[in-house]
Amino acid sequence: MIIKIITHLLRFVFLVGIQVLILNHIQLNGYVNPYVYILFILLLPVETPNWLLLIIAFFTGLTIDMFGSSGGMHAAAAVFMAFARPGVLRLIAPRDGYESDMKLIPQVMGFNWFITYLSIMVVLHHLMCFYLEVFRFSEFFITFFKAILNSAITITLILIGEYLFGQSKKNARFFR
Amino acid sequence: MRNLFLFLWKYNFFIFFLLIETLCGYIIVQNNNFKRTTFINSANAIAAKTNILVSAVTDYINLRATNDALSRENASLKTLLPDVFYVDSALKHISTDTILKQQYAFMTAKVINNSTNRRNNYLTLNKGSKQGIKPEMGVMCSDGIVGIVKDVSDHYSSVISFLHKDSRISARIRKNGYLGSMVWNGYDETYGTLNDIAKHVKVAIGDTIVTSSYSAIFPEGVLIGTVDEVSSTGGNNFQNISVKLSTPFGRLSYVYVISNLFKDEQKTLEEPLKNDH
Repeated sequence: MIIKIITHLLRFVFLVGIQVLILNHIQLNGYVNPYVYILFILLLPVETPNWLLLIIAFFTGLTIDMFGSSGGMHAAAAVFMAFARPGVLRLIAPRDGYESDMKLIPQVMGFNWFITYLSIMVVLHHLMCFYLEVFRFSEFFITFFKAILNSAITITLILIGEYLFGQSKKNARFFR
Repeated sequence: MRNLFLFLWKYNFFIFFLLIETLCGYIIVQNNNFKRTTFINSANAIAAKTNILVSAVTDYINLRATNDALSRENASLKTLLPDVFYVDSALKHISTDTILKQQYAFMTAKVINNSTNRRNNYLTLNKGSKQGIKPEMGVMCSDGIVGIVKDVSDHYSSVISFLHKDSRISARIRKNGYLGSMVWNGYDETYGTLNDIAKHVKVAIGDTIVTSSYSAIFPEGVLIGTVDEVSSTGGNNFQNISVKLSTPFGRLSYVYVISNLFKDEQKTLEEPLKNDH
């Protein structure tokens, strides 16, 4: 149990670090700013209580807000995504349902399942995030374009990261 | 009453979600509020320390460009030194203190965090209230305008960049003096839009746009950029003027914070007029 919590804490520090130190500083003509820190919320255990999920998402978003001066925007988007998580998990549940200590990583759940889960959640988060940032409808289409483009980038980055740094298939099943 | 509790229990997840989102909304609104200092901004100590770390690396990468800008500025400042001018009469350099009263004071600050890739961009500077920085002061660099100070902590301040959806700066076409307001175009860090210039005004590509004397934040005549494209659409009486910004927002490292020493006087004088309409 303790080891599990520490693993998640380390993942939080690692992802927020990457987000704040590297990804927030990408300056490619104003279009590219992926948000990979949400992987932390995606990988929380299945049996996490709903209320805890929302609180964790809130503070994760708030941390990102603190570093980027975006004042509550990421908190709102992350909480929205966390709210959608139980529903999405139910929607795409594998045939035998989830085991209580199942890890939500591609090595365990399979690539197809993982990419469905990842895409739905990332797109939800990015749409919310980008529309909150602009906060007006006059730039509807360009914001939509930005959200989708960055979703694609985030998904790619997360997949690359999962396969580069994730556990191997054997370890993932038995080592927790 | 019992039904109410049952209802609340049944939808507890959704209601909890709404509560937290309301809290987020409150934080967002607070953050958009100019006057109040909020906790969640990059002017707080932890975030500022991290940003210093990042800027230590990026500074090194930008050294060449910074040196260029500084030496160019040194050159232009040197031409203003009294030694440069030929003194043709002993009477030229009388003290003019009573006539030329200083209105703007400049303070250098280092940019320790900066972004250009969002719709709403902010900067963090390494000077704060202890050094005399207050909210709503203007920020410029040697090439043009940068933004307006939003929050200050003891040693840091966060600045609303010109690249922000709420940034609106009173501007003037230098050659003929017509007034408009400058906003960012929303996606390209090198272009802004000059609004409110009527169709009869002749604007040519390459015209210089500078700050007007109407705001109490920037001195008059600070460079904003040059006209890049002029077009007009039907349906309104204004031209669409795209302006190439002179400030290199992507590689800012040293900026000047402007304090207008007469600002309070102007503000108190104009305050009663604001409530008129």
